[in-house]
Amino acid sequence: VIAMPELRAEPLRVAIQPDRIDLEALVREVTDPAAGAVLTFVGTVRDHKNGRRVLRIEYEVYEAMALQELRRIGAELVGRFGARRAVIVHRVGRVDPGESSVAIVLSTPHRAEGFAALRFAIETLKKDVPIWKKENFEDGEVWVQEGS
Amino acid sequence: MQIEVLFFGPARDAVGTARTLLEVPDGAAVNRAVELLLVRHPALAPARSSLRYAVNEDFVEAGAPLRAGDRLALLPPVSGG
Repeated sequence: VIAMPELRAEPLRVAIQPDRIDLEALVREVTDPAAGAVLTFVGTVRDHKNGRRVLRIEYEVYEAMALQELRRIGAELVGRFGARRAVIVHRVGRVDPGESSVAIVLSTPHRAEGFAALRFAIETLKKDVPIWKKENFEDGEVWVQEGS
Repeated sequence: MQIEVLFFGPARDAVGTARTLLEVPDGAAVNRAVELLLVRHPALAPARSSLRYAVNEDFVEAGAPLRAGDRLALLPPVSGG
């Protein structure tokens, strides 16, 4: 008798994309019968900053390095926090107010490690993943220099 | 020896290009390459103290040695999310 190899989806996917983020599709992607929780973090573009109207944001990405850093974060989600599956998606290019700029979606056996994993992922992303945000206002544009 | 240099975000705006080739002494460290870049692009000076560096897509310290063909990236403070 030859044992069939178990078919199992890759536990981790990361992406940098210009397209809008389909959160429902990501939730379906990570949902796992062995997990009792699916958690999502979605970052969205605000329409104002310090009283000025934000028209849009332009994200610039060092793609090869960003994907590598996102995979490092994802490996921690799976290895350290026990996520069954995890997806991290970040936009590149133009993102309008109200749209999602980043989504972190994961499934874990229990909720507590899921919440901890989400917070770890977004805080590490904001600190170490080479992505830069330029805010476009009615009277000009400016690179964001602090985490925000 | 020659290395490739990549600029991102405000650093790219300051130098006006995303990529350049740079001749550095054999065995030079990242710091030395940055000093040479500052001569060519004085507009980078105000950003220098806040820059982080990557060589071939890995974060490195400013004292890290370079090899011919390395890809050095100048990374202003990131602001993803």
